[in-house]
Amino acid sequence: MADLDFTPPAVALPQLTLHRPVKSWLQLTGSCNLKCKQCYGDCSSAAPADEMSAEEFKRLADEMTEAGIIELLVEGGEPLHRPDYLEILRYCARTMLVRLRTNATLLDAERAAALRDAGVAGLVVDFMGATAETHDWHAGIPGSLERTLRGLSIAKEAGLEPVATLIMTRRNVGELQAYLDMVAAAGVRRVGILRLYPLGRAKRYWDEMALSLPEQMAALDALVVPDDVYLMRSWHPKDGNCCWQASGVDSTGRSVGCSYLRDFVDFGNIRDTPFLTTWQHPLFRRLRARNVEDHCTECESTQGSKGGCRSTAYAFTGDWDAPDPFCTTTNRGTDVRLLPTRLLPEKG
Amino acid sequence: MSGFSPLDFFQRRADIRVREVPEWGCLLVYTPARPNVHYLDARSWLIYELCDGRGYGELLAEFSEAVPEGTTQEQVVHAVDKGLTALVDNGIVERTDADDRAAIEAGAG
Repeated sequence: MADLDFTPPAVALPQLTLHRPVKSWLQLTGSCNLKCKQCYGDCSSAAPADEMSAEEFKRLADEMTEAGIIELLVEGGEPLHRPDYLEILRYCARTMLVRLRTNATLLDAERAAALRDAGVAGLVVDFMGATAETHDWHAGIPGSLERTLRGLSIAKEAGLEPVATLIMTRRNVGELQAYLDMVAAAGVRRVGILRLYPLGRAKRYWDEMALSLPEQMAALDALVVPDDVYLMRSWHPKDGNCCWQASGVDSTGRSVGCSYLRDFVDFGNIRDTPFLTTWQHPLFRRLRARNVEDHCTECESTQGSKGGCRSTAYAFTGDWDAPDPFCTTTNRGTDVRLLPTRLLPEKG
Repeated sequence: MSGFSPLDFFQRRADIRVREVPEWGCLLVYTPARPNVHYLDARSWLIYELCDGRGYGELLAEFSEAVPEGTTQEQVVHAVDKGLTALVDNGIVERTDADDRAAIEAGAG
């Protein structure tokens, strides 16, 4: 008898192939109340002019449900920055498990209760440091850490079990242990430390934020994880090639497969192409096939997939079938502090 | 010794959504009332499918037909009870006893 726990161990899966998607990522808005330097969406306070309406999001939710999606990670921008977020989330939660990624600064008790009552399963709360100086430097708005911590507390009180995440940068790497201890003390039991991706605004601050792979690994190795905390991390030996189970749509309707692929692919817009058709785009079929030329057997043994992340592999090599340079086994001497010229943002 | 009575009946709940994933040999079940997604392996999935309003005894008998030869009745009862308990506790299946069922049927008539 199964334990009825969600998400079976990847290594236990009989095959890493899906004929229809199970999970998806959805960008609710490209607007945000913060100005984070590591923002992958390069968001601003104003939403893109061609952002989808609530009705379009609802039609997409119906399509996703019909396609087989049963779990949805909703992000922004800052989702709560969109006035009609609750209407859309409530609609999605009728048929899909909804987790909401947020900076939590706009959360109050009333909004938290409304999210819970709308059926949102939980929150993923972004931290950028363990001190106001560091967190607020990333966020670009003074007082952000204090408001995020308050939002975290409000979420817990409302029964919205939060997960905490932090993207590791040169600025916050010295505070990783303090971050772990801080969120553990706040009652968070699932904590993520994420790698920095060369996407969106993060590219403009890459020189200031990027660490070498050895520096990243050393920081992770030094961590003492509290006994009652589960730490999620995606470096070796847990560098998975997740494309096989991914799908995703940005706030303008562009199907991108995965939030980390958003700068590199366009599988079609769901405004004029069925969602499932975009998921079957030839390039995405290729990425899901995981025909990577070289791979780390240790990561394969934990993740059941070959080659690691396709986004960073492509970002640093220009080759969709190259191994991921963020894995120590397949790094091949790539200095991930240096962005390839073709990724460098235009000046001015 | 089972924790269930022969007079218990089991019915899949209507307020859930299921997603068959034959590639993995599993059934994913979303329970909006208590937001979660549950992973049912082949055995749990079978027990779930058998919860079509039938009684505990009939469910046990049907499940016995699907287990490997040599499986003892004690093992069958243990597996079914564990599965049913998890399905009921997670809001995937409803359990009604004979009195509840009689009341429902009387109301329907």
